[in-house]
Amino acid sequence: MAQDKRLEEMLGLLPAFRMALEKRGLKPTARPDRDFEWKDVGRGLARAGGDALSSAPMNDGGGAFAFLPIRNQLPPEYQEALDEAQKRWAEQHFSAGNVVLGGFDHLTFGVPLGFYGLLATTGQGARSLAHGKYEEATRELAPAVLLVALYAGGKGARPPLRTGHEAVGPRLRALTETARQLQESMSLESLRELARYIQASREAGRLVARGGADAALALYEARGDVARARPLMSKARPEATGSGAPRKAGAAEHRGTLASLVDQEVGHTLEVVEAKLAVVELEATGPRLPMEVGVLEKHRPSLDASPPEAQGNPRWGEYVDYYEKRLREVKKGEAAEGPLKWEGYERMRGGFARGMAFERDMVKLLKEDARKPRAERRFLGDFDKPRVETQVGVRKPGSGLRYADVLVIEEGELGGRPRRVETFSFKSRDLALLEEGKMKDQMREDAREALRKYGETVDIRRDSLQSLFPGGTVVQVPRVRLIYEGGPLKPKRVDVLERVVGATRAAVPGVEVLFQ
Amino acid sequence: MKRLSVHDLKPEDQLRLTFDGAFDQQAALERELEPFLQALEKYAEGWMPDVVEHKRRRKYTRAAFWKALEEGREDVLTSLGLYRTTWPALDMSLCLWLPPRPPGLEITVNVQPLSVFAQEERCRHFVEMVRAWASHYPVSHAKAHSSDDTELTGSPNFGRDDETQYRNRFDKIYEVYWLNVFGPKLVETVGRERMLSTPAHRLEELPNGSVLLVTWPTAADFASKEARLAQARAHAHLRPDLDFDTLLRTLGERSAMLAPVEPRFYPDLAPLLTRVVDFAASHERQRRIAELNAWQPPEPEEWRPADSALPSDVDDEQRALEQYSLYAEHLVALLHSEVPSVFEATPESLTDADYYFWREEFPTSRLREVIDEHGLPAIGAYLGKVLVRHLGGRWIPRQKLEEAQVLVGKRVWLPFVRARHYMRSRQALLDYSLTQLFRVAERHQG
Repeated sequence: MAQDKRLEEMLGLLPAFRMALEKRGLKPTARPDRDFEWKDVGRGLARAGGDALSSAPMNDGGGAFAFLPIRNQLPPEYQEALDEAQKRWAEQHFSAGNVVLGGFDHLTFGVPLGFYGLLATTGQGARSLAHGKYEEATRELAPAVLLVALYAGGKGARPPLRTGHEAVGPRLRALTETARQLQESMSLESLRELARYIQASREAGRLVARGGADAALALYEARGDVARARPLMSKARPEATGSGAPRKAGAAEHRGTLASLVDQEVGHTLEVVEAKLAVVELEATGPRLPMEVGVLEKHRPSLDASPPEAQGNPRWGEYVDYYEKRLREVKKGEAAEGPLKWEGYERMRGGFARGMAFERDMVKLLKEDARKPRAERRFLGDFDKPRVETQVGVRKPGSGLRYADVLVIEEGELGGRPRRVETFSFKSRDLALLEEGKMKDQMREDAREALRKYGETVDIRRDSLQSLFPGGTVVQVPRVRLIYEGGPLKPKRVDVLERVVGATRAAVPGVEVLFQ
Repeated sequence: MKRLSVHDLKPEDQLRLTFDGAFDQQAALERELEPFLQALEKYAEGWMPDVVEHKRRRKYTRAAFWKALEEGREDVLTSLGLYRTTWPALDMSLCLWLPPRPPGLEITVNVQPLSVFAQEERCRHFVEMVRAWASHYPVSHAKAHSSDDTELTGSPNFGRDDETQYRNRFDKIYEVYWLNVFGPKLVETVGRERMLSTPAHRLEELPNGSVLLVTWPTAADFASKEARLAQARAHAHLRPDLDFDTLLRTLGERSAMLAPVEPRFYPDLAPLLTRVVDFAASHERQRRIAELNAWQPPEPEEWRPADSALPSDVDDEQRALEQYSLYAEHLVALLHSEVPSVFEATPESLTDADYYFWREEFPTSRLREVIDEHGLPAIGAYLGKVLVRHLGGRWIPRQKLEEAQVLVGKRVWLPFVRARHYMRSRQALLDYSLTQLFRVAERHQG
């Protein structure tokens, strides 16, 4: 069969990988399983794709294979094998697998990625898997299924998707490609066994889902005994058991979770996303732990022991990283505040994703506005030829370098006038749930911040824009617009809202508050 | 200490007070605000705040009040909020404008529900409180009234654009509310003598030249015929340029808009419409119910008799089915966070999706080309999937998506056509709901 042939070919290309697997007692087999349809796993994996991205470390630099989610967690011989595999596959121009559904929501509609059942339902997922209901199982097992898919034997690739494909970032494509390459290298029986272990105890499921591939391998080696698996696993990566040592992979993983929010087209590079998250974290109002090392040590979260309310939430890993980082900062005296407690962190993070999506939509809207004839423009009517730039670094005396969400510059004839520059700040805030006084406070704070960072006089730092300002890049910004997401987030009572907006304008002249 | 937010309760009418005045910026704040606190503590029986808060939340005491006011201090103003921990809910705020800004004292009070103010005694106390405040702090304008009815008056813009409103505020008597304090400038627009002869439940000239006017003994029955009559009389007197009958008719219409309406929704869509109504603001709720009671979705047109079904014209049916299935997965990917039931692919999950798209104003809040390219195939395929799964339907694939059919009983349904009709506008989401198509297909299952 063609599939068998492909599998053999592939295994031929992967001697190193094969050996590594065999060393671990996972015998790759070229015999595809009769009652197992790759497309079933493909569907599940597809939907786990976003989660895979979100729960996996990503790395921009280095080899093309560096983005593989589990690479850093694998023993060195695996890593080498993977690198080799990647090289060979790249040479062969293997067509992309397009396991992209997980990214569908975010990439196309700006809806933040959510997560499938994951840990809370891991047991259920494994049961379904054992009963051959692959599609359901893979859906429920997201992180475990990533692993499953990485190693699963199969019968060849699914047809390329016709939709969502073009929109998908190169990284996601690369990741899914890799996942698919790997999924053809392990016997289904081993996988099933693994699944049975996971099924047998919730703790085992947790171990695998949190610890990734090495945890799964450890579990497999320990024949399902979680207690024995832990030390095995810690050989591979001591931090993964939450034994207290600082996690080297931490920073990378944290980045990985944020990667789903990266959108180069609107200027949301990873650096920008991180910088924005840092700001949002700082102003998050959720309950925090105090800046006392003793207390922080005592409440230190562990990857393996999430509180019940965090079960099933893949951001738990991100939270652990965040906590550890903050703890280090507190120790060094560099922290401004203690870490948020989990609920607050999760809430902040959910809002952040929504905000990024709103910003992305607004940037697109402004770019469209700029293309319209002047008389028809809704936002940029004061410009002759508006040039819309996103995430522009601007410096203000005393406030350091900030990134304006959008900076609009006049590109048309100046006729002796100074070049017009306006800035926009976007906020996705649920004002509808605030009391009147709180709404006023919040709006004033947002307006002040917008003015302070992007208003009055700014120094435009972006190199490519400097030529527009031969007389110097320090410019007056006559108008800053603060645009809130409308719809269900907008307060419903006009008598309340209008008074609040009026008070904001009185308190912070120079900032125009609008609702989209 | 958990305080009760008005947003914890279901949307309902409130008593809303807005008080715009001034205070003596030279005087010590503690002394200057003494009359404010004294009147509040004396008269706020039944809705007295027990929490005071700027950033930090404290149990209400005088000391806590001063502390919060101190913490709330910014460059040009200081502010705080006053709340309650128990029913009725209170959302109250105080804001003082400080030098170099001209002195300003703004108070807002929102008590939910309004029915708390059905008691005459409590209303009298409320009036006394405002009277005490207005006697001490020079008022430009203050009003207290049903918040739902206030919304219907068009306040605060009264037809003006935002800029004009921010500049001129309440610069003439646009409306007469249950309780009103007119500052000297407003009194001037009418003429003191005329204003003091206004027919009212209570009318009093305050020492600082403002006038307190209360139209009716109780705030809660503002919509009753008698209360409206009193309101219209006062309004017509203060605005001789307006016609009494017209004013009264307008008030009657507002009362009608707020009168409770029993929901009697089109049965297929009752679960969806109930949620649509629950999402509405309190002042829109009754109108929304009435509107939806009278509304019925058009009979679905996205079908053909089974005997005129188009035969499949694809080379590889299996491949086509996989493609539909994949599109349906797109919808799951899109909605699963907010609408977890989409995993189930049940008729109920169609209703959940209908509501989600409606609430999010999806057809207008997302980019059109993205909806057309990604949304429509996903929605159509998902609808088809539910028909297949729950009504024993069968896909008849076609090269063109819009021609793809699902055979159920004696009809073939065109789910992708439905999706296109569905996503045309927010109203279309209701007119062409997924729920409705499913229910009709179910009846014709045969």
